[in-house]
Amino acid sequence: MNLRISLQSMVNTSVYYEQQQTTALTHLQAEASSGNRILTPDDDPLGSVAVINYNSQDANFNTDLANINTATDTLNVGVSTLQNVNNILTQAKQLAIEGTNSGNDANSLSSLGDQVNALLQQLVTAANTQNNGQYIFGGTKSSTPPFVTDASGNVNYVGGTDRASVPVGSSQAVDTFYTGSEVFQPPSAGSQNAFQVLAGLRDDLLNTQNLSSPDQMQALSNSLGPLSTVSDNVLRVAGQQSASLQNLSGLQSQLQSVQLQTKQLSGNIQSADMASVVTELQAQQNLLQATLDTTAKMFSQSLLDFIK
Amino acid sequence: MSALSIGVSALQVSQQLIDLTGQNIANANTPGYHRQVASLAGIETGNNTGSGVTILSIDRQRNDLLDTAVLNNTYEAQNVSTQLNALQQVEAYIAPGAGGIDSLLSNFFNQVQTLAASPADQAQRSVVVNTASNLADTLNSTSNQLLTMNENLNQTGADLVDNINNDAQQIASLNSQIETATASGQKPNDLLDQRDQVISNLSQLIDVRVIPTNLNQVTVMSAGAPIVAGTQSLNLQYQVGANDQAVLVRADKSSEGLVVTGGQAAGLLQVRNGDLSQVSSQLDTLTAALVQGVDEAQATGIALTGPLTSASGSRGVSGPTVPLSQAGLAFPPTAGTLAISVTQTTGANAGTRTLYQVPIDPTTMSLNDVATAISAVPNLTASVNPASNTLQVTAANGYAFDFAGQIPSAPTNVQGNPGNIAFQVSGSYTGTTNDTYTFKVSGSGTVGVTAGLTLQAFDGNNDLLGSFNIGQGYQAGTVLSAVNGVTASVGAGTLAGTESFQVPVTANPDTGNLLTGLGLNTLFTGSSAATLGIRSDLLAHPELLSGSRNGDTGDGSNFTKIANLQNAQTLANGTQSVGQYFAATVGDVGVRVQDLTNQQTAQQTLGQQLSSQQQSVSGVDTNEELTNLLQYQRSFQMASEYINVVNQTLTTLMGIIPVSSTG
Repeated sequence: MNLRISLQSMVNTSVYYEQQQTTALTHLQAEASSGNRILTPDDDPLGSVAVINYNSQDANFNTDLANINTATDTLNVGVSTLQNVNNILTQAKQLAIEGTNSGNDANSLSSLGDQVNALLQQLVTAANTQNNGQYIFGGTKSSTPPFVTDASGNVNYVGGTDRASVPVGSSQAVDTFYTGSEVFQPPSAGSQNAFQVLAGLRDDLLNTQNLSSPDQMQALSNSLGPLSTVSDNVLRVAGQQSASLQNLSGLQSQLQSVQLQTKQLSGNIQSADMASVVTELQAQQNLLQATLDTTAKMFSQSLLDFIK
Repeated sequence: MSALSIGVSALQVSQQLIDLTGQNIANANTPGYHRQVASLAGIETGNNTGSGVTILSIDRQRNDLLDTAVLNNTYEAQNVSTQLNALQQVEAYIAPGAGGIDSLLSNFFNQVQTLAASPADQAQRSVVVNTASNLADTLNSTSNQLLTMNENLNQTGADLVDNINNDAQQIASLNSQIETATASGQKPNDLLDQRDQVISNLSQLIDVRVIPTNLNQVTVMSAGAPIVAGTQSLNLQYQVGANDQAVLVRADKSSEGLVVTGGQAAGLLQVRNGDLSQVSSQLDTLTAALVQGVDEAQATGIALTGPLTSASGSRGVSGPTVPLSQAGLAFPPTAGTLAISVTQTTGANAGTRTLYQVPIDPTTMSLNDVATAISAVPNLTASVNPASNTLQVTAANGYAFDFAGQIPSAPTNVQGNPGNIAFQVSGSYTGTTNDTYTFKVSGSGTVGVTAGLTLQAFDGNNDLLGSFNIGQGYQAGTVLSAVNGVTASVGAGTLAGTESFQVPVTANPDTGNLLTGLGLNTLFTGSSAATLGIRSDLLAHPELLSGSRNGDTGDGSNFTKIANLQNAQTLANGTQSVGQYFAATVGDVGVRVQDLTNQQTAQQTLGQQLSSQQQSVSGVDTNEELTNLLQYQRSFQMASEYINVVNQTLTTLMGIIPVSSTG
C-alpha cells in the first residue's frame, strides 16, 4: 500500500485509466458503426481465417450458380429443339405411311415428296440451332454451323467430335453442346443419319430412281424402320439432356442451401452482437465519466486552498 | 557565547531546509527527479547542552530494487510496443476483404470459371486478363510496401544506434563529473539525477543492467556488452549481413552479433529479421504456387486464334551455355519430355498435325542445347535472344505449333501394310498418363466383308484395351468406338493380318515444366510477388488466352483446368490451396498482434504499479512539502525569536555593568 501519493503519480494514474477507457470506447464504437466484431484480424485471428475462407467459398458458389444458369439455358434450348426434331421425324413417318397407302398416284406421291423435302430443310435448320450466337449441336466447334449442305444436296456434319462442357462446381462439369453426329446418327454400325433417311424417303416418294410401283412401295415401307431408329435416338439424347437439366436443378438447390449455411456461419463469426456492444458501450462510458469526475475532485483540493 | 551560535545554526539550518523544500517543489514535475531529504543532527562539542543543529547530508530518496524493476519494465515494454506497432502495419498491408489479395485471387479464378462456360466471349476474356493484372499489381504493391518498411527499419535502426551511442557517451561523461565531485567529498545529487534520467532514456532503446562501481560511478551493460565502463563508453553499430539479417555489433568487435534482449532495438530486430521476412517469403511462396499452376496450364492449351506462329520466353537464364538446372531460373525445369505439335496451315495438306517429343535434361542441357533440340523439329526454329537470354520459337511459313499434346492427325509407325490400307485416328485422349497405343490387325481378309477380322488396341504395357470388329458388319472408314477418347478407322481393302500402327497419347505434354521455367506461352511473367506481371501481348490480345485443348473455339476445358487450380492443395505440404495459405498468413500475423497486445496490456499494468511505488518513494507530494514549509517557517521564526531573547539577555546583562564613569 503506498503511503505517499505524489502529484505525478496522481496524474499518471488518472491519465492511464482515462486512456484505457477511451481506447475501449473507440473500439466498441467502431464495432457498433460497422456491425462487425472483427475489425482487424487480431480481434479474432482464427475467426478471421474462417471468414476469409467462407467468403471465398461464397464467391465460388455465385460463379457456380451463374454457370448452372448458363448451362440450363442451353440445355433447355437443346431439349425443346430435339422435341421439335422429333415432331419433324414423326411427320415424316406419317408421310411415309401415307405414301404406302394404295390409291396414291405419282402426283400425290410427288407432293408428299415435296413435303418431306420441306421437312428435311426444317431438320437442317433445327440441327443448326444457336443459343447466344453459339451452335448447340456442333460440339466444341460452336462458332460455325455444324451441318452444311453440299452442291449435290447432301447434308454433311462438319462440327466437332467432342462435347463442350461447362464447369458448375469444383471438378464438376455438365455437357451443354452435344455433337451433331451423336444426335442425328444412331450409334449402331452402318446406320444412316437422319438427313440421309429423310433424303432417301424424299427420293423414294419422288421416285428419282424410277422404281417400279411395288419396288417403290417396298422402299417406302423399308424407310419406316430407319425413321424409328433415328427418332428413338433423338429421344434418347433428349432424355440425356433432360436428365442433366434435372441434375442441374438439384445441384442448384443444394448449392443455394449450402451457400446460405456458409453465409450464416460467416455471419455468426463476423457480426457484432449489437445488444452486448451497446451495453458495453454504456458501461465504458460510465467508467470514463467516473474516472474524469474523480480526477477533477482529486485535483480540486490542496493545502494551498487552506493556507492563509 | 555558544547561545548565539546555537541560534545562528538554527537559522542557517532552517533557511537551508526552506531552500531544500523550494527545490523539491520546483522540481515536482521534473522527470526523473528524486525528492531530497536532509538528515539533521545535533552538534556535539562535549558540552552538556550541545551546540545547535547541523545538516549531515542531503540525500535523494530512492529504492534500488524499484528503480531496477522500473528499468526492466521499460525496456521490455518498449520491445513489445515496437513489435506491436510494426506488426499492426503489416496486418494493415495484407488486410483481407474487398481489394485484398484474398478477394482478388478468388475473383481471378471465378472469372476464369465463368469464361470456361463461353470461351469465345472476347469481353469475358478481357475481364480475365484485367483481373489477373489487378492481382499482379496488388501483389507487387504489397511486396513493395513490405520492402519499404524493411528499408525504413534499417534507417530507424541506424538512428536508434546513434541515440544509444550518444546516451552512453553522456553517461560516461557524467560518470567522470560525478567521480570528481564525490572524490572531493560532495554529494552531486543533481548530476546523479541527470545520469539516472539518461539511463532511463537508454532503457527505452535497449536492455540495460546498471552496476554501481566506486565513487558513485556505474557500469552499464547492454546486450551483453559494457557500453559504459567508468569514464569510457563503447560504440555500437547497426549492420545488415549478406543474408539480409540485421544485427547490432560492437564497434571494436564487428564480426560478432550481439543478442539484444530489450528496448526498441530488440523489437526492431525481431520484426525485421523474423516477422517481416517471414511474411515477405510467404507472399513469394503463394505467388510461385499460383504462377506454376496457371502458367503450365496456359502454355499447354490452344488460344482462340489457334496454334502459335511464334512464342518468346519471358524468363531468362543466367547464361545460354550453363546447364538449365544451374542457370538461375526461378522455376527450374526437371528432366522430362516436351511434346510439340506442328500443324500445317496452308496448302493442300493444311490441317495435318504431327507430334514431336523433345527430351529435356536440365542437368546436361543448356538453353542453347534446348534451342538446338527444338530446331531439330521440322518446320520449327528456336533461338536464344542474347540480350535477355530467353528462348524464342518460330514456325516456318505455312506452319504453326502448340504444346497441347493432341494426338497427331495421322497414325505413326505404320508397319506391315502391303495393301496400303488407310488407317486414321482421331479424338481427344481422356487418360491421365502419357503413353503410346498400338493398334494391331488380327486376322486377314477384306475390310467389312470377312468375318472375324478385328482391330485390337494395346497400351504401352501391352495390355489389351479394346477389340473392334472390322470384318463383316463394319463399314470401311467408319469411326470405331473410343479407347480413352482415341478413335480409329480402317479404310477399304484387303488386310494381310500383319498391319499395325501407333498413336502417341499425351496427358501431360510438358512433364518437366520447361514451358513455365522459360516463360513460353505463359500468362504471367516474373516469379515473386514483387516481380509478378502479365505477358504484355495478352493485355491487348485476350484471344491469346488458351482455353482449348482440342483446338476448337468452343472448348473451354483448359479454362476449367485453370479454374480448378483454386482448390488444388499444393502448399503447406499438400494441405492448403493458395487462398487457404493466404488466409493462414493473415491469421498468423493476427495471432502475433493479439499476443503482443495482451503482453503490452500486462506490461502497462505492471509499469503503472511500479511507477506508483517509485513515486511513493521518490516523488514530491506537494501537500507534504507545503506542510514542511510551514514547519520550517515556524522554526525560522522561533530561532529568530530565540536570538532576540538571547540578545535581550545580553543587553540586560550589559545594562547591569555600568558604563565607565568619570570618577
